[in-house]
Amino acid sequence: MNQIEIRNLNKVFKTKQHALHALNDVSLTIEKGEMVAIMGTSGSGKTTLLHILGCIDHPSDGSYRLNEMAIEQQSPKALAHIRNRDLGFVMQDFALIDHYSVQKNVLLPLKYMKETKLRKERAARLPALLEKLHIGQKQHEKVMNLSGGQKQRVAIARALINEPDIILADEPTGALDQKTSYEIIQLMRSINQEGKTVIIVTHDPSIAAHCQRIVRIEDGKIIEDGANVV
Amino acid sequence: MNQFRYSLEDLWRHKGNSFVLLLETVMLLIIVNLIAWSLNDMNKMNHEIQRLNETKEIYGLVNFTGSMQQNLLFQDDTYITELSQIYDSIYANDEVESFSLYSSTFNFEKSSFGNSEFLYTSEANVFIPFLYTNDLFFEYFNLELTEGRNFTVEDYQKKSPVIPVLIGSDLTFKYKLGDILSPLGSQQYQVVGILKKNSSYIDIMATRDFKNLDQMILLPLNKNELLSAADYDSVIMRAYIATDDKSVLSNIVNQANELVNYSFAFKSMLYQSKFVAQDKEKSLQIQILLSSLILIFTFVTVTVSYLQFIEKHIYEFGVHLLSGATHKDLALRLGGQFLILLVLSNLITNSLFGGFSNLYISVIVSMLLAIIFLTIPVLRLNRMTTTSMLKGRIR
Repeated sequence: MNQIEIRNLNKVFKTKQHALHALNDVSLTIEKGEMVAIMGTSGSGKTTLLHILGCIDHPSDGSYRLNEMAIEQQSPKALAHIRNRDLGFVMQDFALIDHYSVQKNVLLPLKYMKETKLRKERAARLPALLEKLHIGQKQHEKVMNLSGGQKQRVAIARALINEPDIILADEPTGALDQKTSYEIIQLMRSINQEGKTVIIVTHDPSIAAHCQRIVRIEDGKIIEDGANVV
Repeated sequence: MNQFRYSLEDLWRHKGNSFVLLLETVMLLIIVNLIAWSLNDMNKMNHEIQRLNETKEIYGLVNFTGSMQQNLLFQDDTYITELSQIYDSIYANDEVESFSLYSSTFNFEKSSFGNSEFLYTSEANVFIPFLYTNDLFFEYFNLELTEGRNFTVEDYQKKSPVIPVLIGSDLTFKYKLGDILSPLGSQQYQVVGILKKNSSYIDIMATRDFKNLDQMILLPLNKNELLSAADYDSVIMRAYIATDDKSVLSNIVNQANELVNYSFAFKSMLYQSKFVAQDKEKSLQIQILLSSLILIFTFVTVTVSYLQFIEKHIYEFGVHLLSGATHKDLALRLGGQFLILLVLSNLITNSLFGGFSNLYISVIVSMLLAIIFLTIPVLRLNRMTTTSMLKGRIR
């Protein structure tokens, strides 16, 4: 079953002087449980595509179906619900709130969850999740005091706390050294092995090499989409 | 509820800025309340003057007698008989209805008083104002008692070693019915009645305003208790006369002039109230101007402050949106901050200036302020996309 299905997607950024086609007639399907790398050079449109997949940006036209749901027809509230429940984000700059503690950052998605019982159940799993990501000792520390690798682990913990089906990662190792990058990508692989769909945007072939499928994008167009043969 | 908690955290994190905004909103609420109070007061006074003059026009005495002449009258009480005649022509004249608004103060030893914070005090003394009254005073100002009895005919006529008095409701912290008051001096007074809370009278010739009786003592206007020329002079000069026959007033003026060279006139309360209204309107205009300036200043600082807050926290907002927040949640967080400030401002205004602040007006003004001040920041927030917020990290 296709978990993600986009058809003829376009994204145009309009300024007073000109219009920039960030995505040009992009069509793509991703099945549940896949680990996909979206590769491309800087400005190729890969991050724009990820943002649209993550319901934090809207396409100019085209259709996007997530779990059979037409995303373009959803209200801002429904999109927020999707971001909260179905998607987990891991960003290059970690997207963490520096003055919050590790715990507060990780639990942030639960703050926007209405079901009290479920929220409590998921919050109760926090210590185990942090232990699993080797940051159990840092639970009460401010994020600003952590290393890059630890910050990214916090971001992954936050992405997982609400048990979403899909993890979207934008250059997750972009700000990390090689050793830490390897650890993070191994974590992403283990998340995928647990059945979650993982989509990683990267320009780094060594990161993409860990994915089952690689989608290459250039000038807003998909130029290659196939299984990773490396 | 979550957003409200974030609002509280935001306010606490930016304590300095929050404090300045709080001060500004408090100032604004105070001045708006002051305007509302002044308007209400002016309206109330106009109604009261109309009511008082409904049956007969009331005239207040305006004294033009020179101080030298007045001092001469007080010397040795030589003219006490003449002054007594003038007193009678005002207060014992069947052709007119008169009351006195002569007020002075009793001095009490401070050590004998307990909690007297609301009274005027010096290092050693507590000062409580008193007012000479008669039946007409009670009738004209619709005064009622909560306990005890009103003054009797005997109280107004008989000389007594212990003079009966009525006390304002606030003075019940110290005195109850039957208690003896012993101000400095030999005269003693006994509480025979307690006035209803918020009793007041209007003295348009002197204070030009309502005077509250809650912290005052009322004495019966008894000619037999007036001992000196100065006592007579005080009561005469503070006379108010209700009459339809202006010639009676002329007679009193002429008689006083002939007897002791007094020079005074009677002015209509209605006529005088026009000048009072003009003065009040002027002060109201100043208040409105001042509040407009504070409003503009507060509008600019609140708007700039919130726009700066948005800029500073743009990345954080982006992270919240990523985690499942909506723009509405963020607007609520922003609005929550201002709401908390407004609630605090209202509490402060009401507790510090409860006497003239009106909660109903404060709440309406607060709601208007929230709409005016938050429109630009909320619009700015709504126009930003999550992507642009996440790109807007301030490092």
